[in-house]
Amino acid sequence: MISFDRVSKRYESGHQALSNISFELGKGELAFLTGHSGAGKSTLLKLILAIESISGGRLHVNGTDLARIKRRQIPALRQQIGTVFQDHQLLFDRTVGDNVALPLQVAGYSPQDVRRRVRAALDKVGLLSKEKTYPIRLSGGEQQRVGIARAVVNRPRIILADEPTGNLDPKLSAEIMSVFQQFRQVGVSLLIASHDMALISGLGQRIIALQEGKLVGGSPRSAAADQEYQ
Amino acid sequence: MNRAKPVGDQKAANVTKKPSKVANFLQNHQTDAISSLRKLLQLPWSTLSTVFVIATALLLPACLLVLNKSLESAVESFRSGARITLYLSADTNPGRGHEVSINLLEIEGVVGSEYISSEAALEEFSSATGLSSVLAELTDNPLPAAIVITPSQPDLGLITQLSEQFALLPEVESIQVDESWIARAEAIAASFGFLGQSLGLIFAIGVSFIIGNAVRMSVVSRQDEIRVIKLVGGSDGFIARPLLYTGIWFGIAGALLTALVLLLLVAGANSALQATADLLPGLRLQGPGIDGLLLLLGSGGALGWLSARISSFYYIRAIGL
Repeated sequence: MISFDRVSKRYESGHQALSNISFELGKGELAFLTGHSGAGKSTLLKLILAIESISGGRLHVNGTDLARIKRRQIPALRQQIGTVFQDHQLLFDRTVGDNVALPLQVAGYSPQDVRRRVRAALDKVGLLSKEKTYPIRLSGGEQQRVGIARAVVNRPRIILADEPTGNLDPKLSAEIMSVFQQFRQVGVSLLIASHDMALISGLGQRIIALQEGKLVGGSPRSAAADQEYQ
Repeated sequence: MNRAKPVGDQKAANVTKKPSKVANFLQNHQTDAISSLRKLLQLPWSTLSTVFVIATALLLPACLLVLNKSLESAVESFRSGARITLYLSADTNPGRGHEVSINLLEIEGVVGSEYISSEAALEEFSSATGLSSVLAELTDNPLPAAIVITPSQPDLGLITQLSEQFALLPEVESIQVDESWIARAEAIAASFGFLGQSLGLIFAIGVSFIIGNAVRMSVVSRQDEIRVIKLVGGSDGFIARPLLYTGIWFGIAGALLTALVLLLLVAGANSALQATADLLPGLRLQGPGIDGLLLLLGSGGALGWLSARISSFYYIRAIGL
């Protein structure tokens, strides 16, 4: 689903955010992206979403070559990707339900479908009772879960998450991780940036580690290949 | 590739298919149209001031076009009463005059020909002026006999051509046609029309800047919202859609206000002209009419849509992402 081939990213300021990154994430795979802040985790996610363009190498997302993507093709790419943003990116003048509805409205679903799916997604993150509440009245952890509901509501093929458990207590973190696992089982590919090593190591999932914009460890090959190797 | 069906949502997944495009399209447009109208009404003063500026800009060309239309139709009504008067020489006797007037009916383009003897002319003149006692003193009748010709069409070319023909007749001494002032009125009407159209074009550009700027402010104030929509895959078209309705509402509201003021102005002008109705029948301002009003509203809406489209796509793109 996602294929990095010697990808590099250099910002206009001259800052080399990523260099020579190669890894693949297959269908139904879950991988954690780790590294200190500034290691390039967020930049890597931005490249996948075509928020930033790559400076070198090749990057394919669900068959789309991001080096050649046209501006008007970007919305369709993003509609296939559910993203949990580190800073939530919620709209505070809309209710929780309306926030979660956004990816569906963007994709042109009917209001009836939107409503049903929104409720299903909110139910999954345990916030069904907050559908009509405004995000400002929610705790940081609850806002985070609204962001997660919004990321999964459109049943994307790829889910990207930037520190999705950053504001959650261990119990909730584990619950959210199990939600992600469920998506994995139905063929969704997930790439989760996190520095919560305690949580990650307990899950026994594939790890892609970044340091100063370079891959320093983990398993650049797919998990399936790894299992074969073992 | 198959669409992923997340666990626990399979029931819903079986029921919902990819949305039926047309129905959803219409439903979503309706939602956007209503919500953008509601947003405008939430800021009544800022909306009203924009609408007022638009109406002010549209009013001048609309007035000129109304003047043009009224003058043209006034000219038309005067023209249908167009006559050519042939004054006969003094040595033409009444019998000959009659004969000429009957012969003239044979000419193509002539539908009426009436002989007025010098006596009849004098009589009419004295009754019209009330100078009968003065005129009775006269030993000679100073008025010539005349033939009044009605042309088949109130067409300036035909009238000119007939006049040239009549001038060749030996009995005709002079010819009077009220054509020059008709031509003048026509020229004035045409100049109003030209001014109305040119100013209409110039002010349309002005109006599109006004609407474009209102849309720009809306984009700027919704910048954070637009970023989020872009991040979840909203296209520029999706983001612009409510703004296009904002433009359409501005255009229609501006045109509506213009139409209202225009109708009031026409009514006011006509009540002033009423005083001269006896002297100048047919001189009335004509309102824009139903088709004129529909044209005004339609072009207002279209102009609003177009300028909102140009402006919104430009500024949405400028946000980046």
